Order: sequence, then C-alpha cells, then structure tokens
Amino acid sequence: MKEDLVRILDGSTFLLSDPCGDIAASPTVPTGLFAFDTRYLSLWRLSVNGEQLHPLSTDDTQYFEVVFFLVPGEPTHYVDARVSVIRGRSIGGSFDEWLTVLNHDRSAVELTVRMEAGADFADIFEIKDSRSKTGTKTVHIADRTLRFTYERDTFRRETVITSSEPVEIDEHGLTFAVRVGPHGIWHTDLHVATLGPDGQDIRASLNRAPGRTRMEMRRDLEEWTNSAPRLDCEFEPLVTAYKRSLIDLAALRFPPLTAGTGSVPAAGLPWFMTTFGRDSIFTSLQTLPFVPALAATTLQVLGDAQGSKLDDFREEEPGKILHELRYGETAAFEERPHTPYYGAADTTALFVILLDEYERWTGDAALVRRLQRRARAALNWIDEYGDMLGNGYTWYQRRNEVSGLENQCWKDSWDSISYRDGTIPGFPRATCELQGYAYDAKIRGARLARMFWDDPEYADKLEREAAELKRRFNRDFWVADGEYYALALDADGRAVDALSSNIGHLLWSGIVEPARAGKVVEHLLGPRLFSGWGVRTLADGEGLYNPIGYHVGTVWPFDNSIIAWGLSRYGYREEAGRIAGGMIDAAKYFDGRLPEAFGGYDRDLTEYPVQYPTACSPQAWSTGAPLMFIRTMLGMEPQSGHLVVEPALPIGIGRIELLDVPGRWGRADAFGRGRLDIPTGRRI
Amino acid sequence: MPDSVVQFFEELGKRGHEPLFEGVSGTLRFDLAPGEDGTRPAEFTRGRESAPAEQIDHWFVEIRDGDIRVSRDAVPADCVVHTNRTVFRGFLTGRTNAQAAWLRGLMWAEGNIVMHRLFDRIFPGPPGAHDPRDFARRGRQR
Repeated sequence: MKEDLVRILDGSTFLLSDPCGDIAASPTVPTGLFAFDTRYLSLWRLSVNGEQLHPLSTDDTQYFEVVFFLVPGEPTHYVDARVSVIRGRSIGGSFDEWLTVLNHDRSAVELTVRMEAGADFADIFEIKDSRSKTGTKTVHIADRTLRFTYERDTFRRETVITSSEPVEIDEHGLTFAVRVGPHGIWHTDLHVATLGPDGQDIRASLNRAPGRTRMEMRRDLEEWTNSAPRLDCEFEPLVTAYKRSLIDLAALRFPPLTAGTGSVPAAGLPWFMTTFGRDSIFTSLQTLPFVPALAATTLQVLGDAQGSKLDDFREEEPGKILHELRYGETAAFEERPHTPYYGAADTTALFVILLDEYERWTGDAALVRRLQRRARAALNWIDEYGDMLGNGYTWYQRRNEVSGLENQCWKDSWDSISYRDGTIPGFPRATCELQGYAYDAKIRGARLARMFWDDPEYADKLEREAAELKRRFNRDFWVADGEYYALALDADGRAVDALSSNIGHLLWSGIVEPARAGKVVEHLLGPRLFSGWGVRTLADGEGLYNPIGYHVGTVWPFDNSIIAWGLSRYGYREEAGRIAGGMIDAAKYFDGRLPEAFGGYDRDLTEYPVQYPTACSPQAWSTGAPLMFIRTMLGMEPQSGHLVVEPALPIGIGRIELLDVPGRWGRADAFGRGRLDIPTGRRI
Repeated sequence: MPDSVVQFFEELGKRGHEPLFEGVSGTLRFDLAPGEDGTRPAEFTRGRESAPAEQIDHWFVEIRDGDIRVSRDAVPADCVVHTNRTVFRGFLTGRTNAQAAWLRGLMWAEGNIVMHRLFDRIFPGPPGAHDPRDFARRGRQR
C-alpha cells in the first residue's frame, strides 16, 4: 500500500484517500470507502471552480476522523489563496463529511463546489484484479440524495449520499452553487450510508446501533486507553510503541455482527478488517495482561461459529475453529469460501489455549464453564479430523482445491514449507508448531477439565495423550545431524528438515524436551536465524531462504513475540530480552508501529529494518507484539491468584513500571529494573 | 408427498430434545413465504418477501438447554428468520449455506442472530462432502 494514503476506520468500515481527501480508485491505488468487504465509494473528488485542491495540512490524530485544510489549485511558489476549504470526515458505522468554505476576501465570491461521486461495488478480493462486475449498476437521483445501486440476482448493495444544503445532483456527483460573503463561511454536511441486503444498514436489523457519533467514538477511545495499564519507562521507544499499540488496537477492534456489544481484534487494515481465527487468537493472547476483554469476545465469537458439519468447499469439520469470515459478493455467490472458511489446522488448538490462558489471567470461570462443550469439541477435533493419517499428529491437506489454502498454518504462502534443499513436500503435511499447539491444548484442557468441568478422568486422559504426543514428537521431528526440530513431517513420515522460526513456537508450547532446549535456543539466537533485529522465518542457508521472502526469510514481530515468550518459559530470560530489545529497537524506525514483517538482512548490513512491502498496516498481531514483549521482559505470570513479576530487562531499558495491570487480583503493579543503567537513546 | 419443511419442524417438535442444542436457550421464529419450487424467489429483492401475510408460514421454536418445543404461533422471538420455503428446503438438504444466502438477500434475520447461527448446526453439510481422513487416504492411494 502507498504510505501516503490517509485512512480512517471504525470496525469493518474504513476509508482510504489521497492526501487531500480524494478517492479516485484504480487497480494500483486502492482508495475507497469500504464496508462489509465491499467498496461503496470508488470516486469522491472535491473541486472548487473546476480546480483540484491542494493540502496545506492534515489533522489525523484520531483513527476515526480526519480534517484536511485545503486550498484550490496546484502548489506554486507560494500559496496565496483567497478561498480555503476545511474538509472534515469521520466514520462511525456510516461515513460523514463536512465541508466548510472560507472566503478570505473583502468582497463576496461566487463558487462552484463540486463533489464527483461514484461506486463500483468491488468486492475487496477484486480490488487488485478489477474484474468487470456480473451485476447491474443503477443511479437514482432525488431531492438532495444521490443513490448508487448494485444488483445481482437478489444480491443488492446501495450507497446513499445526502446533503444538508440545497444541491444540484447529476449521475456523477453533486454541485453546489455557492455565494460566500466578504470574509464569510459556507458549510454543508454530506452523509454516506452503506446499505446491505435488506436496504438498510446491515447492522440496523440486528439490534445494533448502525453507527456512533464522533463524540461517542472519542469517549470510547479515551475509556479504552484509560482502562489499559499505564507504562512508565525512561526508554522512549518502548513508551512510543506501547502508546501506538493501544491506539492501533482500539482502531482494529471489530464488532462482529454476532458479538453483541463486544469486539474482537480484526487482523489488519485495510485488507483484513474481518474476523480471522488465528490472528484474533494470537492478538488476544498478546494483549491479555493489558486489555483482557478482547480475548473474552474472541472466544465467544469463535465458539459460536465453531464448525458443526462436513463441507469440502469451506473445509469445515465438526469442532473446527474458523479461519476467515467475509461479507462480500464473492463470498455471497460462493466464488470464495469465506462464509466462513475453516482452512486452518492451528486455530482449533489455539482456541483451547486461549481459553485456559484467559482464565489464568482473569479468573472468569463462568466463561470456561459456558464454553465447555466448545472446548471439548475442539479437543476432539485434534484427535479426529485433525489427525488425517490416524498416527497421532495434526495434519492438513485442502479439500477445496480451487480456492482453499495450500498451507493451513500461520505461514500460509505456498512455498513456506520446504526441505533444506528447497524442494517442497506433498500433502498432507504436519508442521511442527501444530503438534506443539496440540500438546499445549491437551495440557491446558486437562487443567480446565480438572478445575472447572469436574471431570478428572478426562483430565487424566488428556495428560496421558499429551505425554505420548511429546514422546513421539521428540522421536520423529528431531533432526539429529542439525540438532533442531524439523519444520514438518511429510506424508511418508520423513522430516521436512529446513531450520525455521517454528522451533521457537515449540518452546512456547512446552513440547521441547528440556535437555534439547539449549540447542534450540542456540539456533534461534545463532547467526543463521537471528538477524540482529529478530528471528528469521527461515534460516539463512536453506534452499528457499530469501531475506525478503514472505515466510522464507523475513522477520515477523508476531512470530518473535511468541518465540520470546517461549524462551522465557524455558528460563532463557536473557535471550528473550535480546529479541524483545531488538524488536523495540526496530519499532523506533516505524514511529512505534511494528510492521507485519521486515527483511531478514543482517542488522549489521543494513543498520535499518527494511520493511516488507506489505498490504497491511497496522496489523493486529504486530500491534500486539510490543505488549507481549513487555510481559516477557517483566516476567509477568498469573500464579495462584497473584500477579508474579520476575523482570529481566535488556541492558539499555533502565526501568519499567507497569501500573494497574488488570486480572483476577483486581489491579496490580509490575516493576522492573535493567541490569545496568544506561542513558536513554543508546543502542541496546 | 408431505412437505419436507413441515416434516422437519413436526419431527423436531416430536423429538423434544436435540443434543446439538444443549447449552443453548432462546427462541426463534421462521417466517416462510411460499417460494415456488424451481423458481428464483424474485419477490425477494431487498430481502423483503412481498407475499401476503396469510401466505406466510410461521414456525416458532423454543429451545431450553437442548429441549425443544415447536409451534406455529406468530409470537415474538429472540431471533426472527425471514425466508421462503424453497430456500429453507436448501438448508434441509445442505445445498444452501445460510450465511451465503443471507449475504445474497435470500434470507434475513432480525434480533439475536447468534440464535440462528446455533440453530443452523442442525442442518447437514453439502451432499457428498468428505471426512478429511477419507480424503487424505484416497489421495494417498491415487
């Protein structure tokens, strides 16, 4: 995405425009007003007397509103405008824009203010390959209202633009004939409604307020930020990253239609403003010690949508937790499987892991009891449908061979799973981290069964199975000549033997034999995997290694946050701190906003983290990563009803105070001091 | 031949309990317009069935932790699902996916749509769907 685009959003409604607020969509510049995975405005261009406007400045301090200060004409040596325009906008479900024209002259002016408008109703999946639409577009004009309609069979979406001031409307826009007195002001409000299947805002029929006012949005953001713990720290990059993360998380909160008043973290702006099983779960895990409500809603929503039948197209199976849910035209007509799509082999185990971790922090036993059936069905999926070859491992192989995902793990690009020599295994595949998650889900499920479901026999059974899985895993996945765990097993039981960051997730899951942890850690922090900023997805020297390959060499902040948690779990606090420190250092170069991924180049080589040219920023699980690093550095763990803190800060981060950490203890503070006091700003 | 929709609801009422709904409590009402077999429900544009009120069938389902009571009362419910009998028959055979039907305007739900989502579990998946284990085994033999 072009970085100079201006974005505002609320839930799944968002708007991307150029720096003067205009939308003129093209396949290469994906601007527009989007709601429910559909582009409701593809043209929204303001002019005064036929001239485009030029931005003097932009105030975008809130994620849901922005104000542009504009003058007509292209910039010349100096701007000597007799007229200027203030163009403000906000999103709170629907889209509002307010235009104010100021006359700076001593005499009155006659102006033609024109807003060109158009809607292509592109599905969010069609943006980049701009297919021609199957359905029919029509335009209707009524008093102060311009209505664009798209229909395909019974599918219908509408954009309705209304003006508060008298206006002349044609099929391509709104024209205001304006007279502004000496030093006078003219003003109009434009409202753009995005209508769903039944001719009203999709949310209106579901007992949900269709939108929120700006004041409500501001209050909500303030409450959100105030409810999170306060971070006091001399190391400025960490404070910046923390603040940035809290605001971005607020922006990424997505109220699914089935969630009542709660929110789940959407995966990322702009292409992933929807419910993703994996991303929502990981972000919830990262943010549990800070804003635990996200986890509660995520569990509820994913539980309600748990698979209950067999469906090849959607790759649904009973007990499975969904991968992705979409509302656009391609989903509606089953050209794509997202209603919802279940093609993920890790979400189901992760669901159980999140449920247990959530209870450990919050003490919310009621939710654990309410979700007992869901959790049991998930655990059952691991042993039944997930174990495709019946040999005790979790496998994946897509049944939707047209639009399903080949790799149904977090590294979901086609070439992410390879042998050392770069060849790619057949299907099904059992990646190593899936086995770690399954192990952890069983161990945690056992705790839940014993403590909350009153079923000690089930707990014993799960623990026996976990122990057996661990034994088997350590036998089958260990690459003896490299002394690390294989990336995967192929269908013949052969190790897919590339060295990858996935071995860090194994530490987090606890499936690593303690005697082997040292070797795993050596690899993670060794020159082939550790770039200086963080751990690469694939080790330098492997056949497919590419420092700017999506899952084959780049460094992912999310991945590293889980690896740091894993290192911490096995007592490698200093190593965890090195990763946390490297990542927070990298965040400095992005104003505190860690990207989805950056290049795997050696830190010494580039001295700058090269951002992967990715589609999404902010991305939820990158946004959650700094929070996870803070937890890891402070060694925060819930233990027997208390918050235990065992800090191990990297040198350079002098001191961290995290105040009012929410949890089953009410609120508690966490303090940590670095081993050496070093002035702020110095490189870690 | 008995109508499969009537059969479904009557059978559900007779059963009186459905393990899939254990842990679920609430009420649903299905308002079903005629929707002739084999014809596209064109009257469904904008999601609103234009059939006269006397032609709408009402099915009221009360669920209490898996126990089920079915009636034909047109009384308020936590979730009201509007569609026609053709679309509903698609749910019964597994050929029509409820979420996709909703996005296409073939049905719409008012109120607490989680109730509908949970109710939908009772319907079968598409005919001919595979268990992933069979699928993998077959693939290995190819």
